[in-house]
Amino acid sequence: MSRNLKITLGILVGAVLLGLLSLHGLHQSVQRLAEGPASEEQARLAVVAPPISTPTDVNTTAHIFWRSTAALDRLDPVDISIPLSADTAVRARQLLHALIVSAPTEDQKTLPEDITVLGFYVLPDGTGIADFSDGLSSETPSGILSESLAVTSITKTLESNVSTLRRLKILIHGQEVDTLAGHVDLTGFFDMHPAPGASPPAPAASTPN
Amino acid sequence: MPAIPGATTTPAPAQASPPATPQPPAKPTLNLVVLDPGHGGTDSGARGDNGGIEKDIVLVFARAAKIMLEQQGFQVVATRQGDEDPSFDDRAAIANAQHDAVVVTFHVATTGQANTARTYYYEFQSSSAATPVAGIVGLGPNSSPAAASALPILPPVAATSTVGKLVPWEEAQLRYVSASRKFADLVQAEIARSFPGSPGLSVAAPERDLRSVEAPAIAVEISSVDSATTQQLDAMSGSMGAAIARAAVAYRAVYEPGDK
Repeated sequence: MSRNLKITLGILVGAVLLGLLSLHGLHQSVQRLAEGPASEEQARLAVVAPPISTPTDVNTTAHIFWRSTAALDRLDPVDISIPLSADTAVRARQLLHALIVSAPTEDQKTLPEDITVLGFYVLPDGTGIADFSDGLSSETPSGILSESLAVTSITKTLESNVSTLRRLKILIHGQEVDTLAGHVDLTGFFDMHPAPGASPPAPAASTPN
Repeated sequence: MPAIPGATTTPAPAQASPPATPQPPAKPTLNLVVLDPGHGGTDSGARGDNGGIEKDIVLVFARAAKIMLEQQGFQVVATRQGDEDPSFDDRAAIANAQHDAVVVTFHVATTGQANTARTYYYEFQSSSAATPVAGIVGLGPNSSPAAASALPILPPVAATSTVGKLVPWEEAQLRYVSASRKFADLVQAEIARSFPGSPGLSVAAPERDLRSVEAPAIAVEISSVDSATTQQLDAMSGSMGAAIARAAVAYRAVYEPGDK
């Protein structure tokens, strides 16, 4: 075998080895890309929804309403320990954040995981205004049942843990919307802690809760 | 008094026989069903993994229900016949133009056990009002809490504020909640018989389609656009139509115009 041939073969072997190494790296890159959206989503969430905390935070057992494990068309309270602020608006945001991200299982979620609470405001008459990101409308599964469960999980969770709220208005990206995702009416207020003696005009026989 | 020969007999005086009582007007009865297939046009509604599209599936259910209802002697009016998308108000206007009617709106869920269905009637909140939100519309995502606090505080309007004959459009269903629940329970009972696994009772929910309807009105939501093929859902439509027709017949027996 001539010297030149040996050199050529050596170069070829080297090129093949380099190609194999590159292929391995490429494969790893593809795998990383496939996993990308979730981690990117988490990164975005970390920016737009940083952990909510105040100096008055105290670890508290909160009753969060998720889908029941026994029947997914119902809600059941689950007790979790989370830091909650003494400030009503901050406390409400902390609770809604927990409702969104801390469901025990995927099936128990009532709200899309990548939505955020853009703001929560409390008016002097006890009206709470919860402002959610667009995902509440675009990513909640469309349907009367799923939308009812989403809204009821929000109102029940707030009602169980924020005693001063009397009613809730849900906004999406700062705007009033007709429906959550095409079915459930968001143009009005949702009752919480109705005043003594106040009775709803129509009996609600069996709301999904 | 003895009769005088040759004299003409006169009819007995009026007091001798009971006065003719005017017949009461016939009681209005339920004779018309408005069928409202949800979504349509650019609003496709839910989309299933198997290619099912809610706006098309509900049209199939509405057509099947129309046939069954007509067999039971009902007139049927539909809020849409094809791929149109009337607004909520357009649909309510069509329903409100009818007399002695009930309204059934159809939807297909993205969740729930396949081959089941749920019936809903509208649930008003005691603190809800027709137009209480104008003050907070436009609150931007970056608005400060101070800005929100500065908004006008709108007093809760009693949901029973339908005074006299003027009915706020957004509260039109308020007078009919009880009647709607009665009808919804009858429909749900029939659905539970035809589709095992379905709940036995109807459920209250603030379903937007129903809010401005001035008649007993219900929403039927079929499960599920994800877990069944379009053919399976279509196959449900005949039984669903029959269940609704049986319930409408049962409701006709207890129907009271303006039932509250």
